[in-house]
Amino acid sequence: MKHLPIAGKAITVLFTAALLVACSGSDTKKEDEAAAAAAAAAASAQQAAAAQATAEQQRLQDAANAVGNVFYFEYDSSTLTPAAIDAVNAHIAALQGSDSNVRLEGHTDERGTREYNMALGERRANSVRDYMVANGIATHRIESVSYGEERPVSYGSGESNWSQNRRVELK
Amino acid sequence: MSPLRPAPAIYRQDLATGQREQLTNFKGLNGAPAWSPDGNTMAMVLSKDGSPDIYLMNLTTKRLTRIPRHYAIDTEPAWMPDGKSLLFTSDRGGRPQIYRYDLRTGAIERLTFEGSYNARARVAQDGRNVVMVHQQGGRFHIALLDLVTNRTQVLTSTELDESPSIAPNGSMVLYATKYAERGILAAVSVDGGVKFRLPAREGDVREPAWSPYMSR
Repeated sequence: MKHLPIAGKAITVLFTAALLVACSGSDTKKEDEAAAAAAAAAASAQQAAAAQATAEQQRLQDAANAVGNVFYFEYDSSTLTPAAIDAVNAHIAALQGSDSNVRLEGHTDERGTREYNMALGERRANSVRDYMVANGIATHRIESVSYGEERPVSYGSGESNWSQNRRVELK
Repeated sequence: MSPLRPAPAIYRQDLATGQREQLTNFKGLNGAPAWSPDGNTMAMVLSKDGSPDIYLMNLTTKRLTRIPRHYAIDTEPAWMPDGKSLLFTSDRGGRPQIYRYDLRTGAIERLTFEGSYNARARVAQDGRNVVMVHQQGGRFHIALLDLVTNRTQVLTSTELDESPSIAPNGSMVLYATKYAERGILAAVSVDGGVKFRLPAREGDVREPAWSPYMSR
């Protein structure tokens, strides 16, 4: 919860108003009270804006959690499918309002050679990373690694297992 | 994000003394190390500059040279017995195929054209026969490529065959495959005539390799 641009702007404006009141030359009790009231209003506006931003961020995070943190790929491909793009978009929206970092773990199915699959897993992770960077997430917040074919989630052969294993996991 | 696990790196282990030396520790892939026949150079795959590229490390100076880079995947370097060229897998043509890099001229030549997937070449001592993983009809077999005739012969008939390793005398190919959902080792003669499975009592086995001819 570091970036609250809307709340920040509101506070700046209100504090400036309070300062103008406080510095307006006279130090009568009435004006002091006005300044205090303005400060209180500013604090309450700040709280309201912060609460609203927190709720919005929670909504985005819930949406990202709902689509899940696994993006699937076609055989020997590192191109994001439309379904994967939708899912990654939800995570991008959540990341834009937070300052957390992510790790992208690329995986492949068991077919083909181990070293080529290490490279393919990396290319899948980088494909998600590049899409996130293109949509405004800073590169330094993303780490990508590959496990190749070494960490399947679904054991056994056949497309029903393989399709589960061709994936990038966001953690 | 969970804490970082140790990243993969390439080490050189001296079997006689037990001494271990770390050769690489780069961001990204550090893999597929391959000794040159004279033992002075290590070919390896690093992705520190983006896509996986093949590098040669002088083991005395530790200096790295990169073979001409490409945005595609370049991996699985294998030395020719004379040490003058390297075979490697690249998908620069769209699908993984075997290429040869000439260390002297810098020329790169594609060697395989049959099938949509040819990878992880290993060269026989004669410098003529190459074994590799070859995809045919959705199945992965071991195939033999003759560098003189440019003919490819499929040697195996099981489904998920990989990691071929050719015997020092050139007669047999060891490889890994799956049998009853388990990783096992099998062997086939270079003419494809004789095939047998190696007994493995338990667990998964993979990545077989022949020991070299001992000269003393």
